[in-house]
Amino acid sequence: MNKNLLMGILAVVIIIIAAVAYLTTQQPPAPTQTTTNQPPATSTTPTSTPTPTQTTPTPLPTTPPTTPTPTTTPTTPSPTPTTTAPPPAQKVTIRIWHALNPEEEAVFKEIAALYTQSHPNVQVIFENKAPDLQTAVLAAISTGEKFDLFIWAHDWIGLMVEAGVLKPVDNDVADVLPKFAVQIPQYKGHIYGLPFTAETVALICNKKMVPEPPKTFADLAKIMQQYNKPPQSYGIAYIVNPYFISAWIHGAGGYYFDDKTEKQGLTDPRSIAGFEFFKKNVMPYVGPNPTDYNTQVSLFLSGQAPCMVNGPWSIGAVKKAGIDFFVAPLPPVNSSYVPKPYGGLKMFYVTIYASKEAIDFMKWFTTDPEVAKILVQKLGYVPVIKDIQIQDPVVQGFYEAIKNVYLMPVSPKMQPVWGAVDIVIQNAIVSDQKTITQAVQDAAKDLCARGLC
Amino acid sequence: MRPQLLILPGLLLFLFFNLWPIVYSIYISFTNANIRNFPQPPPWAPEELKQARPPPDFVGLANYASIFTGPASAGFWNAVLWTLVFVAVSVPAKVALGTFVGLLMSSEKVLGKSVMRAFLIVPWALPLILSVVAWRYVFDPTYGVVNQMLYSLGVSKPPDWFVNKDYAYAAMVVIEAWLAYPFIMTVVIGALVNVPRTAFEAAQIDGAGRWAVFTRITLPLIKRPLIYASVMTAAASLQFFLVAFLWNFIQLYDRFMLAYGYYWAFGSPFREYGLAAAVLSISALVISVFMILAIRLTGLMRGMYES
Repeated sequence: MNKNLLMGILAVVIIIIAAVAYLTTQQPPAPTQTTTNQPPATSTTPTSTPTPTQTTPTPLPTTPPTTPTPTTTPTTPSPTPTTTAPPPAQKVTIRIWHALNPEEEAVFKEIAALYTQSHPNVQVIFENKAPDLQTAVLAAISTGEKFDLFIWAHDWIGLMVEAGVLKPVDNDVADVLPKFAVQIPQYKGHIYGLPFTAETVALICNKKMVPEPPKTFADLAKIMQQYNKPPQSYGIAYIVNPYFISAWIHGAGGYYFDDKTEKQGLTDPRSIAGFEFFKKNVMPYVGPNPTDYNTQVSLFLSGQAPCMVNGPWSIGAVKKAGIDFFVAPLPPVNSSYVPKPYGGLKMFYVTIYASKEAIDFMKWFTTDPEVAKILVQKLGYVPVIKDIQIQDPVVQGFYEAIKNVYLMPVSPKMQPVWGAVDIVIQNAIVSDQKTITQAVQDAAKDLCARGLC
Repeated sequence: MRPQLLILPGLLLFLFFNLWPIVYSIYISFTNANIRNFPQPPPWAPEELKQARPPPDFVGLANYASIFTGPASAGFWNAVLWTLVFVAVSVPAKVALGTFVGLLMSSEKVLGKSVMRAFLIVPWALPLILSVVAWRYVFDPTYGVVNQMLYSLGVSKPPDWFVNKDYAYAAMVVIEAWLAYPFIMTVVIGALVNVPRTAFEAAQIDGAGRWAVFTRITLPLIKRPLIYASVMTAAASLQFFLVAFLWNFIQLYDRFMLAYGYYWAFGSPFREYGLAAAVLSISALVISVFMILAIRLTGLMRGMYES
């Protein structure tokens, strides 16, 4: 009779149905989890094989009823019993989250296929969470979604450990540690994953202008002076930001941030000496717009600068420009002042849900020389393991540079320091608004105001 | 069934989407929620996750103590003070600019008014991110128009409008004035349409000059719409955030209240959500008090509940 009344009741009913539907789709996993732990013993392959095809396209939104149940099925039984002797037919799925580019992802899948050939019970799924892997991982943790590993540079360890995402694997990986040529990143004394490649900056020079790698900084200074004829050409292409100039601060014995004490070191006299050295000996030869990455790279690519300081990620563009070049470590000033650029290690992070199989896969991937060879050949990755023959001179150049690397801090407290150093650079190195001493003192004060004294 | 029950669905939706987030964020401000424990895993989450992420502890007024006397106080007072300075500087600038352009665009002596009005509305209509990018070019320390002009005027070292805290802040005032003047202008144009022409003619016959006409006739007649627009735009200035965030957040984070709250939630090492919620609750309180006072003092609502 009353239309409005009917509409109102209808609305209430719809809301109630929606709420009930929401609750029912959210909760079932809890009870079904316990029940589905028994089935796999009897019906192994059929239940687990369809799952990966479902998980890859729809990772997050529509998960509730279908996906958590099957994916947990293979992984949960493994930690509880000692998994050394499960029935061989037991399928294990390793979920790996990443933000690799398509080219890298293809190579990674290829390598994973090699592994699954010899381990038929294992299935490796790569799930692309670009462009914001960090948010994806943190969101997954708060909803309880399970995955085994994720791939990113090592500087997230501190944050991810604090967020409860990672589990320490010190004992599991102890046997493979001697195989690495670099220090394994740790947070508060524990290892949370293994690296497979390193990135740092080195000197990339145009062979037409610089035939031989400079042996000392004096050689480099000569080259820079020779070519510094603005605006036709400049002494060097150098992106002046905290990451790229860190080599000179660390080389002088200074530091931005000490991971052990979690204190900033900008006001340390050796850090100031490092900033001063860069400003006095390198800065005058840097081309225009020194803080802009693209400007600096294009100076080198157009032949307006003999050398560029950059990392492995820039090599593709250099090759495309048809430049005949070499890669060499930043040259030492003297025997005690050796530039130590910040280095990042790309690594697998082990989440709290990682199965033993996932950890084994990570150990194989990071230490097997064959894998490293494929990564060198196909992606130009700089290896981090010992005893590896590198044919590629570019990778060889970066491999040399990595020996002097200063690992990027893993503590979350580093985050505001990046900005503080950037301000020092902008105020005192790129411009002359302040002296370096004044700028670092202001930066220290600013960091103190952010609770980092 | 009683008819009042029919508002129930709407009421429930309102409570769920409007009131609950407010109540919840106030609750968060009394806890030590941070990246270690917030958000909490759902009840069906695996046991190991629940162990790794214990629930946030109730810390009482600790976050508020930190804001008013503790480690966050210096930055917070700084942010509040500079936000109020921002309101004090940018609101008169916006209103003056908007009124001036509005009067100009209402004058009979200006040709092509409708076309020009359309162009003057542009800042209002552009997506904010586009405006900020455009302004970044204007203020670019090396190539920007502003610094090129300063060069030609003989300033040997023009300021860096991104990196220098005070100059960046000054740039914020300019951008905010540019972003908001179309609003004032529109209100002024709209108000002037309703002003009878006879008032101006009478004043002119009586021998009043331009300034006298403006202060004695125009301003009193468009007072109420103008006050309304000023209060609204003052609220926008108090909530200024996005432009500063896109401009140079590491320099401007402690110059605006909302930016300071954002800093603690997403820029601090351990993402202190609890502290951020406290900062933003206080900011909301400051803004509310400001708005209530502004409305009371200007008598904006007077007569609203009569008739």
